[in-house]
Amino acid sequence: MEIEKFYYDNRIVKYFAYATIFWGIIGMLVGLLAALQLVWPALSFDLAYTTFGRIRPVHTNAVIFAFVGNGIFMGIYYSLQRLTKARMFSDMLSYIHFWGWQLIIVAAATTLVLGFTTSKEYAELEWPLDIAIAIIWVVFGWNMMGTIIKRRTGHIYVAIWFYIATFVTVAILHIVNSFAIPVTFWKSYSLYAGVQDALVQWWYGHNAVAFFLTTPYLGLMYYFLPKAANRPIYSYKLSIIHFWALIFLYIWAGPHHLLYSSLPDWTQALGVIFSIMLIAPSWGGMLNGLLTLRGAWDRVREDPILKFLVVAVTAYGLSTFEGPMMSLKSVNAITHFTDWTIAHVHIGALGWNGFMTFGIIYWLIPRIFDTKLYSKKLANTHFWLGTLGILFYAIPLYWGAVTQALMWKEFTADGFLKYPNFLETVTQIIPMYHARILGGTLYITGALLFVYNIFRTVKSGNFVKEEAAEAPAREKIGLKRQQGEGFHRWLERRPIQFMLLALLAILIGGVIEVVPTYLIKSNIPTISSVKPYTPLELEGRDIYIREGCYTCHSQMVRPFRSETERYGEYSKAGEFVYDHPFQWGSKRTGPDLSREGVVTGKMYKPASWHYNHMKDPRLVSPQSIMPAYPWLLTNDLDLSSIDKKIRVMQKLGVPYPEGFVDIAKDDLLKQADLIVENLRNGGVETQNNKEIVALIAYLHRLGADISKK
Amino acid sequence: MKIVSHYLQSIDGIAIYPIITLIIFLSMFIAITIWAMKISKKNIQDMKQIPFDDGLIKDENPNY
Ligand code: HEC
Repeated sequence: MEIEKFYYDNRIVKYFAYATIFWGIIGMLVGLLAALQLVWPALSFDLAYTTFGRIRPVHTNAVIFAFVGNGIFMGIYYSLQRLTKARMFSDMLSYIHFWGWQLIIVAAATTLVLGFTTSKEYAELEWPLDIAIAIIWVVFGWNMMGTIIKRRTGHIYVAIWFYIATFVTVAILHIVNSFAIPVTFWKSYSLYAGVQDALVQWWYGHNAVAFFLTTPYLGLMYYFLPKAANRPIYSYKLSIIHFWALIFLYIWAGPHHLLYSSLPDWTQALGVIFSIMLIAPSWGGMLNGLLTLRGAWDRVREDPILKFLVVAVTAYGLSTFEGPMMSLKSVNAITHFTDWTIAHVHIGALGWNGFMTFGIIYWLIPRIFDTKLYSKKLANTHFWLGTLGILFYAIPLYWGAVTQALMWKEFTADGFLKYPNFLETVTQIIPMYHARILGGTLYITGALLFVYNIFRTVKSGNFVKEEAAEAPAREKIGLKRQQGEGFHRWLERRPIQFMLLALLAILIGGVIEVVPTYLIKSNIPTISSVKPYTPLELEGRDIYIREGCYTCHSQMVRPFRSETERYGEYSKAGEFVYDHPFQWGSKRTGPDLSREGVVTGKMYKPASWHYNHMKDPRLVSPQSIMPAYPWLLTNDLDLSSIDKKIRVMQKLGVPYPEGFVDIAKDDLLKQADLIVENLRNGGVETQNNKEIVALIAYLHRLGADISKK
Repeated sequence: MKIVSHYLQSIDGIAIYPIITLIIFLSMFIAITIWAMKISKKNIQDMKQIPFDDGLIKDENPNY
């Protein structure tokens, strides 16, 4: 057999490694800023670009797509070449992928700060960037599949299956969830509305966690853990079963994010059953990782890299156990909308993704720089700071979450809410927010030591840009199954068929979940008093979206006595039929706002109250941690696209009467005049063309329809 | 464009979907488990070793 000589491209690995480190630090610092803002709202700087509602999406997107994203690519470009004994398919594609992705990140951060957002969590980017992401993602997949096809090995190692599943699934999730009709270059309305939009969004949200934060990292685990421990994976059979069960089941468990909201019971129940079943394959992966180290625990004690990997895998096990628990109705009733969710995702992000990434980089950089790690001691310090950081981050938040949830639900003996003032339940847990800041700071301090350690390592080494390797060309065994060759063996030899089968597996789960969401419209009882938003309210709603109010406020009253007492009537699916996109939110840092416009309700506030509250919440709610929005009082309302907005809404099926476009602007000004008048009676002078007027119109509309049945 | 949903609005017996998936999933799971169990020991050993053979040329990459 002819031996071929070739070179591994280490430069692309180095690029992605540097990008991972750079964006990791940025993402964490922005997260720290967000944590600080929740204690000291002044740190929103009274500036639109730096308020919590815009900073928080920058943080989540930076960590998920910039830090973890680049980490995935770094690990894949390193391991894929070696597992296939082939250089990447095309250097040009590699570098288009690299620079394209970095450009998208920069554009993403910029547009989010400017307030261009769809408000769909972890999919906030507007449509031009969605298209760019799809293109670059395909470049990545093309490069990867090309490499696999021209490989010099027979069998395709399990890590690569996870990479392939990641590629196909993320592509589908991204495309399906991003369907929207553009209004302008930086503004679009989701194709879906209300319940349907929420279902699609959390089908996406849940699976973004599964297929962006989990499957690629499991692939990396199956490569880097054996390499770092220098022993093969514990059970290869388990990895096969684990893989198929995981990709099939994960896609299913979307609806549990919306438990107790206005979904049909059967979707809820099924989501729960499947997310519990999900524990099995997840733990299969964890056990496979941990058991690989059996008999090597003495080395784990010495080697900081193995320590990072062990804690990462353990954190994975923890959060995949906790996740299904959180989908149980009784647990969810407590944890939903609280900081429990935040703690949960940080076990995953800081523990699983963060520690895995650190471990891999500590292992990989000395190798591609042909040197030794600068300081093992420093890496150990990093490990302990990081671990303490995670504990200080998560434990106080769990505590705070339960405290607050119980306060929300507590009644006095006479049957009144014990803490009718929402803010009281917030100030109660502020000490926990302080502790969280400490945890985050410890973690970042560790990460900075890591940067220094890597920097010194790089300085002391010589970069091996091209690593020479040789291998026999792959035997051409033909497409047919060989005698005695099992189906799965055959499948692994055929990457395209493998990809298609993986695709089929996730599609079965996906279609079965998405089809009902398409059908769901018929399941939603219509409420005749629910009418489309007026043009002014629509503009106000867009301001609400732009400022990211949904990052702190829900619009979803659950059918619990504690909630109907506090907010008013519980939410009905039929209320949201014109909500493109939905605004249910996932976290109540502030109170639910969906009954803000019920004049006879507990939540109602006069226009002048809202005016002062938005100018500076602490004027009317001392100790509030809501940011101030003074610019809403001075900014002129941008009316240039109201016609276009109405037209797009009509296209989406919102029943504005024919010809409404022509009178939209007049209608808007008329309503604005009423609010200005109303404000004047409350002692506030303003003009009818200010943004605040539209926002007040929107807030006063919330829940108004169903209250006038 | 009134979204695809309008075509599908009146489909009865939607519960059949989850039941079908459950059946597909279980049969797939059982099939894959059986296949996995049938792979020979030697093949498994070979596959496990893949990460440790990356074909590096020792003289040209002295540190490995
Ligand atoms: C950092 C989280 C945060 C963000 C972001 C935020 N809020 Fe708040 N909001 C709060 C908190 C906490 C309260 C309760 C204390 C208070 O009244 O200020 C509150 C209260 C409110 C209330 C009063 C509810 C009532 O009836 O008692 C309204 C209305 C409101 N917010 C609207 C908004 C709007 C509109 C935005 C976006 C422009 C927004 N909030 C953004 C945290 C936030």
